[in-house]
Amino acid sequence: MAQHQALADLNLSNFAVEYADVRIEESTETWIVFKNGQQLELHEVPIKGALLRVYHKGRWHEAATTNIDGLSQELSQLVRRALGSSPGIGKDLFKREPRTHDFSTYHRNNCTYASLEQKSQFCRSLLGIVGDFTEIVDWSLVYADLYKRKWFKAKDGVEFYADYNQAGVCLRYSLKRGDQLFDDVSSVWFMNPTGQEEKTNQKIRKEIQESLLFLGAEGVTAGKYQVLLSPEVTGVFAHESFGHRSESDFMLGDTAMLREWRIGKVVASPLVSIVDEGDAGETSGYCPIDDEGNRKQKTYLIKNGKLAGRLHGVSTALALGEASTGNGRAVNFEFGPIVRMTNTYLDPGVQSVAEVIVGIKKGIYIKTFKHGMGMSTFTIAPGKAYWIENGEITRPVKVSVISGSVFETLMNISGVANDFEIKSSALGGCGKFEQFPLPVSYGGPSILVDSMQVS
Amino acid sequence: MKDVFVWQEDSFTIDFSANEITNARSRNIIKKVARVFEDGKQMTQAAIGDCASEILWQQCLQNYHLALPAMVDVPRISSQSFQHQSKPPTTTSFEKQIGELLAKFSKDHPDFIAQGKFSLQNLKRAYTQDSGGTLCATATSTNGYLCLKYKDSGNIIDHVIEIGGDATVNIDSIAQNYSDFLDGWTKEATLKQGKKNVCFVSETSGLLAKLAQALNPETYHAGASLFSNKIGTPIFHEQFTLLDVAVDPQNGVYRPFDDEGILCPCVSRKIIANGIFSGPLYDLRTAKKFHTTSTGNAHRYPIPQGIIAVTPNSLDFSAGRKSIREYWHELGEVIVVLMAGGGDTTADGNFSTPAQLAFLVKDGKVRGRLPQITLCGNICNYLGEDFIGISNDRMNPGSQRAPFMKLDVLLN
Repeated sequence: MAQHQALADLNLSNFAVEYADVRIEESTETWIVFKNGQQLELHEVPIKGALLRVYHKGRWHEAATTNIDGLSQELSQLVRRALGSSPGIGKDLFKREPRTHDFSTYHRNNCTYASLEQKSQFCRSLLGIVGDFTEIVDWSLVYADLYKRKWFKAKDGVEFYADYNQAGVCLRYSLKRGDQLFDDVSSVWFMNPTGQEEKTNQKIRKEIQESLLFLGAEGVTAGKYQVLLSPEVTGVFAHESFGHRSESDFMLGDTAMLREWRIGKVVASPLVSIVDEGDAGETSGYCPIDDEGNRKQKTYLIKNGKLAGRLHGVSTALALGEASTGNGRAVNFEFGPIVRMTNTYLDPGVQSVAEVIVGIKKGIYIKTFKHGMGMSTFTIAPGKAYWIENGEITRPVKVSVISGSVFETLMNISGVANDFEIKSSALGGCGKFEQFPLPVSYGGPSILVDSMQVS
Repeated sequence: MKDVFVWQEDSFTIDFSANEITNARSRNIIKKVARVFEDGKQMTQAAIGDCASEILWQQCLQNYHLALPAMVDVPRISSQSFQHQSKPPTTTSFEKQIGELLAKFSKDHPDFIAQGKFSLQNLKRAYTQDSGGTLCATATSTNGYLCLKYKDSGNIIDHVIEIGGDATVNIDSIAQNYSDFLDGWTKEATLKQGKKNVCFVSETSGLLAKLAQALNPETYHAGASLFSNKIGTPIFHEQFTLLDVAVDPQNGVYRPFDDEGILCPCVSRKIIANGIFSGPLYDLRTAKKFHTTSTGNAHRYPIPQGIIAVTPNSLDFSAGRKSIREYWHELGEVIVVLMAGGGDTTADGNFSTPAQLAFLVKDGKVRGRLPQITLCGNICNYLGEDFIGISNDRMNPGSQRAPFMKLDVLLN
């Protein structure tokens, strides 16, 4: 294991800095792309690089490199830079017990067990779908997978090995009938394409059939509506609305906000509990240990409507005098870890969806989404949306965006169903600052919000 | 025929949080993608990390049994070198500039907290064919952003100021253009719903997203673009001209050739000229498919493992006759949008976006910050009969010229 050896050869205790760590990553990505019947890409990409970090006199120093054979020199150079720099304002780092973790989770089932030829055949097995729908006028099919291995070693004796795997396929299509247009997407996530043909084929066909209903659908009249969010949209709402707000780097330097954001404060309807949990089975947000060598904790952000916790990497935990929750993550070796979510979800309730919507005279059901964003207001651009009329989900409706103030919306949640699901994705992910796409997952049950801006 | 594209990045970045520098990082990354064209077939192999071109070409040939039919006729190139000369500061003076910016910002705007990063980036892009021809472009750029948060606002970010330019960008002055807004932060303005004059000074991505999508040649020729069958037809206001800019290093754009080694035929291409659509963009594959020539718009994303797709280099608007502030004076009342993220446009052209940060400007003066609002309109209207004009200046290097238009305002 060459990378393991490269780390073993580095004696970090030789460096006269407070702390140093090295993270080597070795990945294989596969990309297969078809566009309107033509295959555009079919290749596997080996990726190898390392991020080196030094903490000295209250300031971090980092170097990203693809020069794995020269790590010792790279680290020496980084240490020299750190020793010559002016001091920062960071506090002394937490002391950790030396420990070696092994999270080799996917070594028996990952996407590298399928050959490039098998992956190509899997994609070709899906191409017939498009020909069966004359309304599809423009389409692309993208298969992507990633198998990543990380080796980490820190000066304080913490070391880990972890692997990560995801694979998936996504069909984007434009439907046209007369002058009516509708764009939509269907995607499937799995560990390995082997044996996934039938299930994937059925799911995509079903979703295209449903998309056809939106050709000629009326546009919504902008205004405020009662809105039912499906499990995947609830998940993206939890991620965008409150998950990002719980990333504690946004609180640094704001003492007033820290006072305001005291644990136990009521921030949502009592029906709401939001969790970030990276170690909960096979999801695209799987992350049992972060890129700083800290175990991911199951973290309640909101419990029964009350503020219950926030997400930390080492720097934010130090600055705010709290413990790391193991959320220091980097999108890849080119970047240093920052506070990021993993698998974020809203806990399920006890009612069925039918019970939740029974009293709605006219509302909107958001079933899928194209993208979401969370700041002072959160926004979600729906894919498929439907009218809710007299307690039933009825006709398709075209909606550009739903948006709302985070806190008003959290308070306005009046129904939480029991149809809990987690949504994973191999294409796309979460973006924060310059780091995109970080694999995350999100989910929850269907939830009812009493008033949201729909336009 | 064989070719290889190399991206070599050498950069230095300063991160800051809570108005203090927290991190200095360097990046030395090399990325490559190689292709082999043989017997009417093509093979691709990419790598992150230094790997000899010959090895990548060998790996291409090892996958000969999976080769795809050749989709492009790659033109032979002659060697050319492009370099944007701008003397970068040393890393020490760069860090000092950022320290001074943060100190000045803390003093001038004590109610705000800044976090963000600024980078000095030296990027070399080189495209080589096995016949010996090489295109090489090197430019040093400065880019970064300042995320501002008003203390105790309850928001995670209240404002983002982004810059992108060459190495001469004066970082310590970037907040100055926004001082009217930062000073007027605590004044709350009120507004009634209805159609209003709106100006986007620093966030036009939502407005431009549908235009970018509509320029895709496959979408266009499939009849699924807003502009399908409209070449030569007036589609927007006669004073509206949309540019695809390939070379403008002062605003952070430097792509004298695209990711297929096609020289960009002009520094900036008029996609919509005085309201008339001139045609979609093409790479080599789509140009061959639709019997035309590449416009030099092949972009590989993500680099290097992603695919070649047709993408605008950098969309901008042709300069109008007045500055942003002259428009503010002339229009009497304008909603100035500084942050409007997360919006979307339906296939029918209906655009809607929340404005996370907007101010009411009356007679050229900032009157106060508006509550959260939603802005709506159909693209054919707000760039047609409801279009007002484009500024001839920018808020910062790297931002687009500011479009002015009438949009429906909904109070959230």
